Amino acid sequence: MNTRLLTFYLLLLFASVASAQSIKGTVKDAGNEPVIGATIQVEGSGYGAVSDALGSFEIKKLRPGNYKIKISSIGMASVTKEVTLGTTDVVIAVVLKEDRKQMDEMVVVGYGVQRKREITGAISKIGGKELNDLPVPSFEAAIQGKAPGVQVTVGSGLAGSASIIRIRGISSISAGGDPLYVVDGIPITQDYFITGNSGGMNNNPLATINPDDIESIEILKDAAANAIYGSRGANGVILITTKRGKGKGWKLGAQVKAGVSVPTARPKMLNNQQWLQLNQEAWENDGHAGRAPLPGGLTYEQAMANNTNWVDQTIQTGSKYGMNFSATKGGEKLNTYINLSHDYNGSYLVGNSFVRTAGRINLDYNATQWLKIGINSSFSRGLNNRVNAAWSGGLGAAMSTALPIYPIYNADGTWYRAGNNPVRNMENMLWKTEELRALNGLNLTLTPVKNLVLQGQTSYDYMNQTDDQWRSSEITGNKNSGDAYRGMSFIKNFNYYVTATYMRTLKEKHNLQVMVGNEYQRANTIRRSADSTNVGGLFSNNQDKYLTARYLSQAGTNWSFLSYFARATYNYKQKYYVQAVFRTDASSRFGNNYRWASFPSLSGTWVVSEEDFMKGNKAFSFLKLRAGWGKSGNANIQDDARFATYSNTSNNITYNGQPTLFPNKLENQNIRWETTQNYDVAVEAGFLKDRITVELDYYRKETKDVLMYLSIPASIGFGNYWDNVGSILNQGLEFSFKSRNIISKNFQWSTNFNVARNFNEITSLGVYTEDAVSGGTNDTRVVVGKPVGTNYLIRWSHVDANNGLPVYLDKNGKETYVYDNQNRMAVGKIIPDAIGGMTNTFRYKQWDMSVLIIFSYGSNIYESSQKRQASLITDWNMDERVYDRWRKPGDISHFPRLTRDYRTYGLPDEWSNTTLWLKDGSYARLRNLTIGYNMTPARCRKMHLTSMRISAIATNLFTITNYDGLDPEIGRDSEGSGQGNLNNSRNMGSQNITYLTPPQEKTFSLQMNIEF
Amino acid sequence: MKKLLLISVLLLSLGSCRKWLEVYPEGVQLESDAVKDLTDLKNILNASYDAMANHYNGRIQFFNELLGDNLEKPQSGFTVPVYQRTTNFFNSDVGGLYGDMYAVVFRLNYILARLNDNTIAVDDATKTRMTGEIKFLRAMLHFDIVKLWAQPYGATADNSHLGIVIRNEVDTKPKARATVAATYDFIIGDLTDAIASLPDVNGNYATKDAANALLAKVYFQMNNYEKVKEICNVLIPKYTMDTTLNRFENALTSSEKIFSFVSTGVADNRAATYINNFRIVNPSNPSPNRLSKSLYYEATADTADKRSKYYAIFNAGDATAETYGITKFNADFLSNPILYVSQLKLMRAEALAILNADLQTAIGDVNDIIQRAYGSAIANLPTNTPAADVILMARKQRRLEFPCEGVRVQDLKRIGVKEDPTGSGTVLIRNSKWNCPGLALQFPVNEKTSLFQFNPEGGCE
Repeated sequence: MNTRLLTFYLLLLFASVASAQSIKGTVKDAGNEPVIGATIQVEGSGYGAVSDALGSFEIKKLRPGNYKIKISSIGMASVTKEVTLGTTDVVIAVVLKEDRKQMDEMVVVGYGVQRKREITGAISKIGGKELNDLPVPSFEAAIQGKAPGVQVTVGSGLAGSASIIRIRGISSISAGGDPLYVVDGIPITQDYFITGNSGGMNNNPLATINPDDIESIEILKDAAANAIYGSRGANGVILITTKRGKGKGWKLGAQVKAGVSVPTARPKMLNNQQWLQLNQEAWENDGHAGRAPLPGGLTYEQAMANNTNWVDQTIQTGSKYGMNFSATKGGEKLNTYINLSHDYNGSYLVGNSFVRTAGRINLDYNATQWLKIGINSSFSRGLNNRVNAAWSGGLGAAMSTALPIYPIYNADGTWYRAGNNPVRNMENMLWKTEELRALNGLNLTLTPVKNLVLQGQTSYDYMNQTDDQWRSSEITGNKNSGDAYRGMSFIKNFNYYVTATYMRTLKEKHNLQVMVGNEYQRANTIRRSADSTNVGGLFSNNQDKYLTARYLSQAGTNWSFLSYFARATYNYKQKYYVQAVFRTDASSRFGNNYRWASFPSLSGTWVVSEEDFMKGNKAFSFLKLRAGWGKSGNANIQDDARFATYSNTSNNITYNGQPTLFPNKLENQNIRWETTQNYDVAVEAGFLKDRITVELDYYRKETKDVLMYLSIPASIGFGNYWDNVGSILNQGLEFSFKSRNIISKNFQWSTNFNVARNFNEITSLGVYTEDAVSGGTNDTRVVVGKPVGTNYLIRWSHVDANNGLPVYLDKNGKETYVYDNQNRMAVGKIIPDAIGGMTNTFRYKQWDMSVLIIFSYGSNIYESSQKRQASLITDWNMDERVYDRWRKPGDISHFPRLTRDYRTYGLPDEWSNTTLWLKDGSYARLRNLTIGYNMTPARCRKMHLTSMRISAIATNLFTITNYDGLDPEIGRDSEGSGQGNLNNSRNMGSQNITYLTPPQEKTFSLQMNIEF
Repeated sequence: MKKLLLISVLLLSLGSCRKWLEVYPEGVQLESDAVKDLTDLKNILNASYDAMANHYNGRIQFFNELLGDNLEKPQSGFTVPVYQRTTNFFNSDVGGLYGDMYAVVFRLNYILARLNDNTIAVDDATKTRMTGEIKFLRAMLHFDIVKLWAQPYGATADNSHLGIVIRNEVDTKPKARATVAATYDFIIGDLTDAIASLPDVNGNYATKDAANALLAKVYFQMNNYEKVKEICNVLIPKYTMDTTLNRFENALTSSEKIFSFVSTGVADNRAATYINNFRIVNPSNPSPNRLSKSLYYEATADTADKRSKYYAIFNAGDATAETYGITKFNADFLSNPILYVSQLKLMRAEALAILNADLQTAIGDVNDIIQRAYGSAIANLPTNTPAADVILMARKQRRLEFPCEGVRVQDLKRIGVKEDPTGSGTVLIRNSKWNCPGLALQFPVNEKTSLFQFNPEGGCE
C-alpha cells in the first residue's frame, strides 16, 4: 500500500511545474579564486545549491519575497546575505574568507569536547548518519570499515548477534578485550555473557541501543585519548553521543524501511543418495563387504526413501521492516529531541528475529545564564525470537548430524527421534529472550564565574533480561505438557561524575585549561531462574504456572569503580598543544593490596601549518604532528575472581533433603590490574584547501600483568585459576585518506579510505606453556613469540597417492602417518595483518550512491567443523567439497580415502586439528551499496516537506575471497564455563574460527526518509 | 573564590567513602562467611554425596561399559574414542569426568582439614563419623579413578606401574602419579579407617557395612579372594535377597541395599545418565546409546529368564540395521543402587569357586540369583557342579545381572590379570588384550607438568 501511495505522490510532483525567479551568483575566496562545492542554502525553505567549478550557483523557482541566503564551505567562515527577490532574477557575489576555527569540528573526548585541531590523541569520529542507513544486526556493526585500526567482525547471521570489536589489536587474554562503551557519559552495561552461551549465541548488550538516536561515535584509540578513562581504556573507548534538539522551531522526521534477508552463502550438503554412496565407499575402503551399516536405526530401504533437505527446512527468506519518528526543537531556553522507533529484523533462519522498540527524549534547559540542565532518557525493548544455531542445532544440525537419510516423521506419523531432527526440535520448543533497558542521565552545568565550568552528571542504566524457554514433552521425554524455564537478570548500573574546568587565556597567547573530576560507578546484577514441569507453553503465557514455579538464585555480579582524574591542556598561540592526564582508579575486583592503580598520560601537538614559514604554502592547507604516551588498564574480569567462593542450598541443591554447601573456586587475593603502556606518533595533513586530508599513525602498546584464567591440574579439584601472567605487544600503522575528487555543480565524488596494519605478539607467558589457556576446540593456543589467537595444529602434508592415507609432518618437518599432539606447531593466526575500508560517494543532481568496500588481509580461518564434513564418515552430513577425495592408487586428491573409522587416519578421535582445515581468511567484500534519490527542494516545498529521500540499500552483495567455506567474515559465539574461559574464547576463539557458524546475511532494503 | 573552592571540595569529596569499594560478589558466598561452624562442614559433606550421586548416576558406569563389550559403538562424539580405546588428552568427556571426581575429593579433604584445624567446635563422635564418611567416599572415588585411568591391579607383578594422583589433603600443587600398589594401599587404608569410624546405622549415608562391602569389591578387583570370602561371609547373612528384578526401581528401599545414592523423583533423579543413554522413548526408534550384539544375544538366549524381557531389538533380521536396546531404564526417574547383596553373592560365589572352598555356598549364591531370574529353580546349578563351571556361571550371571552398571570390563581385566598374566591374548576385551594401553583412559591436558607422566595411547584393536 505504501508503494502505491508513494508512486501517486511522485507522479503528482513530477507533473507540477512552477514558474518563479532564481537567485544566481558566484562564490570566490579572498584571492578571487572560485570556491568549489560551497553550500548555498535559502534559510527556512529547504531550497539550496552547490557551487560548481567556476564557483557559480543558481537557485531556481523561488517566489518573490525576502530571503536569507547562507553560504558555507569547509574551511571558510560562513556568510549570510539578505536578498529581496522581485519579479526578476537576482545575482549576488559572495566572498568567503578562510576560517581555521570553523575548519575544526568538535570532537567528544570524554568529560568534555575539544576541537579536532587541539586533540593530542588518536580519535576516530563517525557521524550518526553513516550508522543508521545500514541494516545491521546491531549498531556497532556499522562502524566496520570506517575507522582505521578498528576491527569489526560482524556477528553471524543470527538476528541481534554481537559483533566483535578490537581496537589496535588484542591486548587481553582472559580479561574482556572489548572496548569500553560510554553513552552520553554513562559507561553502560556491556555483559556479553548474561546468558552464557546458549543456542550458539551470546547475549549482545548493545542490541537494544537505537542507532537512530546516535549523533556521533568517537573511538578513543591511544592512551592520550583514553587515559581519561584510564582504568578501563586499555582496549579503547567508544563514546556514543545521542542527538539533541537544535536549530529553531520544531523539525519532524520519519523513516520507514522494509527489506529481505538471505544468507551470504548456502551450504551445499549431500542428498541421501550421495551420502549413502559415500558411506558405502568408506565401508568398502575399510575392507568390508556387503551393505554399510547406517546410523539412526534405519534400514537401507528406508534411507533410500528418505531424502530430507534439512538446509531448506531451517532457512527462509527473512523479512525486515522498521519505522522511526523523531521530533526536535531548538530554542533559547529549551532544546528537545524525541524519537520513537520500531524495528523488526527477521533473519534468514526459520523462526529467528530481533524486534526492537525504542523511545528517547533528550532535553537541554538553559535555566539561567549560569545553569544548564540536561536530561537523557531512553527506554527500549529488544525481543529476540531465538532459535538454535551452530553446535546447538537448527541450521547447524542441517550442516552436521541431521542426515539426509533421516525423515522428519516416522511412518506412523510420530516425530523421528533416532537421529538429529532439527524440525522436531524447533517445533517442540519456544524460546524468547526479552530485554528491557532504560538509560537515564541528568546533567547539570554551572558557570558560577567567568572561565570556570562545573559539571555533574548522575545516571542509571537499568537492564532487565528475561530468557523464556519451553520444551514440549516430546523433547523432555516426561509425560506432561512440557517444561518451562525462565532465566532472569536484573542489572542496575549507577554512575556519577563531577568535574570542574577552569580556562584561562593570558596575553592572547597562552591558553590553559584544567579539569579535575571524580567518578564512581557501581553495578549489581541479580540473577534468578524459575522452572516448572507440566506447563503448556512459555511462562509469559502461563502466569499461573509461573507463580507456582521453583525459583532458584544464581550467582550475579556486584562491582564498583572509584576514580579521580585531572586533565590539563595548554596551547601557545594555537600552534603548540600539550595535554597531561592523570587518573587513579580503585576497583572492587582487586584486593586491598592491589586495588588502586594510576594511569598518567602526556601528549603534545604541533600545528605546523600555523607557523610563519608555512604561510602561503600551496601544497599544505593543514599540517599537524602529534605524539603521546600513557598508561591504561583493564579490570574486566569476574567480580569474584580473587575469592574462594561457595554456593549453598539457596540454589535448591539439596541431597537427601538436607542442605548443601560447596566451594566453586580457588582464591587468589594477589591478582592485580592488567596495564598497557601506549605510545603514539602521528601526522595529519590537508592539501588543496583540505580537499585531500590524510592521517598517519604509528602506535605501540605494551601490555603486562596479563590477566589469565589458567589451566591447572584437574586433580587439584579445580581446572582453572586466575593470575597475572606474561606480556603482550601490539604495534602498528594506521593510514586514512579523505578526498573530494570531483566537485562540480551536478556531480560530486568523494573517497574515504583507511587501512591499518597490526603486529601482535605474546612476549612472555612466565612459567606457563602453550596449553595454559585454551581457545577454540583445542586448536588455538597461547604461544610466546606468536600473536594472541595462534592456530596451534599438527601440520598436514598431503594425501599419499598410493594408499590414500593422510601424511602429517612431525616437529622436524619429517613426513609421518602418525598423528601426535606433540607435533603441534604455531601455524596460523586468527587476527589479520591488515584491515580497512573504502567508501566512495557519488552525487549526481538529486541522486547519490555510496559504495563501502571492506577488506581484511592476512588472517587464517580455522574451519573447525570441516573435520567432520569431509572424508571421515560419521553420523555427520558432508558438503560437496568431499568429492575431491582419493579413490584409487595414483589419485592426487585434496581429501584422503573415505573411511568410517578415524583410526584409519591415525587419529585418536573424530576431532583432528590439522592444517587441512586452516584456510586463508583474506577477503574483500562489498559491504554496502546505497542508491538514493533526494527530492528537489521545490518538490518538497510543494508537499510541505523539508526534505525527502528514498534509498535502496544492499549489504554484503558480493565477496572476493579464497576461502572455500561459507563466509570468510566469522564472529562466532564464545564458549566455555566461567567468564575467564568465555573471554578467552572471545579473544582468541570466536573470530575466524567457524564451527557450523551461520553465515552472515545479505540484505536488500528500501528506505524512505522524510523531514518536515 | 572561597565559595568556589568550597563547592569544588564538596563535589570532589563525594567519592571519598572507602566503603564504596567494599563490594562483594552477588549470589555467592565467600569462604569466610560460608564455613563457620560444624553445620557448614556437614553441609559440605552432604554436597559431596550430592555431587557423587550425580557422577555415579550412570556416568562413571557408562565410561566403564564403553571400554568393554556390552555396548555398540556410539554414534559420534567424545565417547567414541572411549569405545575405540583411543582417548587422548583433549578428550573433554573423559577430562570432564576426571575433574568432576577430583573436585569431590577436594571437598572431602577440605572438610577433613577443617575438622582437625581446631577452628571449628566439633564433638568427638561427630568427628569420628564424619571422618569415616569422608574416607569411605574418598576411597570410592580413588578406586573408580584408578580402575579407569590406570592398568589394573596385578598388571605388573609388584604393581609398580603407574596409578593415579593420590589427593589426601588440600593441596594446590601439581603432583606426580603414585604407583598402583600405593594407590590401592591408600584406598584400603581409607576403607579400613572408615570401617573403624563408621556407625552401623547412618540413615542414607555411609555405614560400616557400606565400607566393608566396598572393601570386598576392592579385594575382588585385586584378585584377593580370601579377603572377599572373609568380608562377604560376615555381610551377606545380615541382608535378604530382594525379589524385584529391576533394582533401579527400588534401590533405596530394597532389602538388599547396603549403600545407595538417594534418588527420589524427577527433580531429584540420580539415575539420569542411565536414562539419557538407554531410555527408549518411542518404540519406533532406538535409544541414543545401544547394546552390543553379544550382550543382547546372551541375555535373550533363554526366554525363560525373565531378565530377557528387558531387551529390545530394532530392524530385526536386517544384517546392517539390526540394533539393540534395554528397557529397564524406560522411566522418568529411577533409583540408583551402588552396593547391594546380589553383588556380594556373585563375588563370594566366584571367590569360593576360585579358592575351591565351600563350593555349596558358592552354588547356593549363584542359584539365588538364577532362581530369582527364572522365578523357579528350573535353571539352577546342580549341587555337584564342578568349581570351574561355578566360576563360569558366576561370571555369566554378573554380565546378565549388572548390564550397564560398569561391571563387565573390570571383570574382564581382573580375569585377565589372573588367567592371562602375560597378556598373551587368551583373555580379550572386545578383541583387545586386557592390558592394551588404550584400555586405560588418557588424563586431561591440564595435568601436563614436569612431574606428570601420561598414559601411552592407543595400542588396542
